[in-house]
Parts: sequence; structure tokens; C-alpha cells
Amino acid sequence: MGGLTLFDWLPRSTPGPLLVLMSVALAFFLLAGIAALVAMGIHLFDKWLDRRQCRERAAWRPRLYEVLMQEAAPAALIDHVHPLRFDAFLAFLTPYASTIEGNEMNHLQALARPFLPVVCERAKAGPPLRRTRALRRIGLFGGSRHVPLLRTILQEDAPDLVLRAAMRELGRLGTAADVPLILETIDQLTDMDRRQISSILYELGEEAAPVLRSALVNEVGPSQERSPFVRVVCAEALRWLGDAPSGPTAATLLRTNEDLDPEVRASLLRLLRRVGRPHHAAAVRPYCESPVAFVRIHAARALGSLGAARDEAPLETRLRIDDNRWVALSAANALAELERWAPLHRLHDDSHPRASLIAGLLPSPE
Amino acid sequence: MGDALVDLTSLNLCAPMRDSPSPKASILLALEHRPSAELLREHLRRQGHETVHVEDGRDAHQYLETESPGAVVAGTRLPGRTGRELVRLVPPFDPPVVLLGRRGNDGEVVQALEQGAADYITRPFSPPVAAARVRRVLSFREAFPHAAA
Repeated sequence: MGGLTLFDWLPRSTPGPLLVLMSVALAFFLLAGIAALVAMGIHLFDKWLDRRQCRERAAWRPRLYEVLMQEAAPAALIDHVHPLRFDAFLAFLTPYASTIEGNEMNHLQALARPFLPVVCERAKAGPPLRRTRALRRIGLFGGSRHVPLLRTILQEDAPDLVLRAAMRELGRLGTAADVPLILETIDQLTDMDRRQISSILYELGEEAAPVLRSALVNEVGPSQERSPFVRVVCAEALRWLGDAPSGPTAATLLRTNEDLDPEVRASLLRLLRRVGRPHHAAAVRPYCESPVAFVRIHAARALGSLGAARDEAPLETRLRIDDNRWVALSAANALAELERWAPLHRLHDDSHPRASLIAGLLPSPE
Repeated sequence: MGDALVDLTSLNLCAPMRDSPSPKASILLALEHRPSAELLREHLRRQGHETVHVEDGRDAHQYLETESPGAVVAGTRLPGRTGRELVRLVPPFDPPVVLLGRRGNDGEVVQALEQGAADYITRPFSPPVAAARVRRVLSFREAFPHAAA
């Protein structure tokens, strides 16, 4: 009790609440001081890391050029990479991997090769972000020997982020044989972009087309029915591949399956627009009357590519009376594509409320 | 139209195109993608060319107003002014502008070439091949100096 305390210098009559207030203020002051010191320490540490990275990269860069120009063996650079700094080294190589191809890319892969076993271990387990980064590096610097690892990850109950990364890299390194596995994985994902998946399937090349066609027609049977999303991505990938045999498949599906999901219908119409033949127009025409607006849009666009003179009247009707302006615009574009100018001129001359839609479509007078 | 025609008598059509252009021919690398710029610069430097690298289209345009590089390599996504804008801004092939952009858009390549780009290199590229294409454009300009008029 006889020891000095922090507030001994205050008069004994100082009220208790004031003492409490001063104690709290002092505590905040001390905390602020500690926080400032920590922030400064982190800042200095970051600056030191940046400087170290700059130094390392400045030392690696000239040697990288020598290796890429075959003036030095890969070992000339690899020997300058500390084993604990392999992560920084691969990060340094990454932008170059998306820049070059051919022989130079082989040299770059040779530089990364000694570190890939550790990267593979990281891809197998650990925090999702770290696994994703490891998978990205396998895709960039690895080769077909890493495909089994990617397949194994896709068969695991891995987080979405990891599955998406493994799928993307399998698209890059895998073959058409991997399409079924990728399609099965899609249904495990909670959030996936249609274009992203389609581009993965597209990257597998033309050899993937037969498997994609079979998935599109749902050949696995009703017990394992493909989801509409899977069928849509298959149709999109086939469209990007410009797969001509998909034309008859899409036309048959449109003609015979009355309970098709509207998204699947729209994707089939997009596919027909790209790879269909004029005789497939018969399968498209009924969908100009679909109750779903986006199906009508794609039907009109497909007719622009596949249609004939007999489509002039139904397209003009869509242009004039469809309650959706996007359908009307698609019909106008289709007429222009078919070079059926008369309905467009009529609409323009009648001063129809939709005349503004076709302002840029009419050919300028000679 | 007559102004755009090249005076064929002023060209030495018998002169072979030189494989190695003048070592003094400088090249402006107006590229937003640094690794592409670094690799091209390294290849061109080793072949005796001076290079200037800028990462903004406005800087590139400003440079072209005061300097006359032998050729320009411009990125299609260059901030400030895109490579295609630079093609439109400089007189035809004076200097020749080679565009460098991502692979996958053939339509854009066709449009750029029709607009007057001397060549279009897609990324990923092989650095020696890309450097050779830039040097080829330089060689052509040196062999036919009045062709741009």
C-alpha cells in the first residue's frame, strides 16, 4: 500500500470518476503508441521485403534472358535461387510464362521444373488460396505428367476455389478424355461462370466435340440426367469450336424435346446460328413464338443466319408487335442479315414507333 | 487518290532488302505489358537497336511528335491512347506501327491491318520471331523510304 502509484501526484480530493477517466485515456494513449510502433514495424518490414524482391529480380533478370536466348544453361539461373525463395522465383517467372511460347517456353519450364515437386505437394493440401496458386503454377509450368494429380483433385471433396482451378488447368494440360470428369465436377460447384467453363472445354480442342455432343443430348440416361447448366456449357463449347456435326444434333433436340429448359433452348439456337445449315431453319422457326423473350431473341438471330424469304413476314411481325424491344431489335438485325430491306423501309416510312431501332441498319442511299 | 500513289521511279526496286537494318534505327516500344517490352527490348538491343519504352499512349504520341523512330511496337490495350489509335494518328507507315495484342481475336487483327498497322503480333509470342518481324518492318522502310509518302 505504501508504494507509489501513477496518480500519487494528484490531490487526495480528486474525484474517483476523474481518476477512472484519466486511467482510460492513458490506456488508450499507450495502445495507440503500441499500434503506431507495430504499423511502423510492418511498413519497414514490407519495404525491406520489396527491396529484397527488387534485388533478387534484378539479379535473376539478366540470367533469365541468357537462358531464354540459349546463351546459358537453366542451371546458371537455378543455382542463384535460394531453396527457400522458390516461391518468389516462380512468381517472377509467371508473367513471362503468359508472354512467350515455343522454344523459349520450354526453357522457362525447365527453369521451374526443379521446384514443381514442392508445388505439387502444396496443391494437394492446405489453405484453398495456396492450393489454387499452386495449381495455377502447375498449369503454367507443368505438363501432361501432372494431369493425374489434377484428376485426383477433381475427384476429391475440395473447396470450390480449388476445384475451379484444377478444372481450368486440366483444360490446359488434359485431353478430350477428361471431359466427363469436368462435366461431373461442374455439378459439385456452387458458383460457376458459363463462359469460364465453356472456355475450359474449348481448350481441350476438337477431339472433345463428340463427348460434348453426347452430353448435350443427355445420352447418360434419365437416371443421371445432365443438368441444364452442363448442357448449356456443352452447347457453348461446341459453338466456339465451330463443330459442324452439332448442327443436326441441335436441330433434332429443338424439334423433338418439348420439355427442354429455356436456357438449353437458347444455347441450341446460338449453336445453330453458328454451325447450322439453311435446312435447320425449320427447327428454329417455332421458337420465334416462344413465351420466353430470350428464346425469341436467339431464334430471331438464328433465322438471320439460316432463314429465307419466307421468314420475312414472321420477322417483320416480331419487329412491329413484339412487346420486348430486344426481340424487335434482333428481328430487325435478322432482316438486315437476310438482306430483306422492304420491311425495314416500310417501318421507316410509316414513322412506326420502332423506326428508331432500325436507324443504323438501313443501307445509306448511293 | 493520286497523292497516295507511290512514285515507283523513286524506289530502287532492285535493291535487296537488308537483313540487318542500320544499327542506329531506334524503336519505340509503347507497351503496357512489361514482360513483352522487356523481352523485345533485350532481343532488339542485342541486334544493335536502340529502344525507348513507354507505358502510356499519350507519352508515345508526345514522343512521336518530337522524335522519328524507325518503327513503333504498340500494345493494343495501351492506356491513354491505344495502339490502334496510334496507327490512326501517325502518317501511314511513317513510322510503321506494329501492334502487339492478345491472341484470340482474329477480327481485331484484320481490322488493325486494314487500318494501316504494319504487322500484328499476338501474345504469347516467340521473342526472336517477334523481333525478326519488327526488324523486317524496319528493313522494308529502309529499302523503300518513300513508300510511306
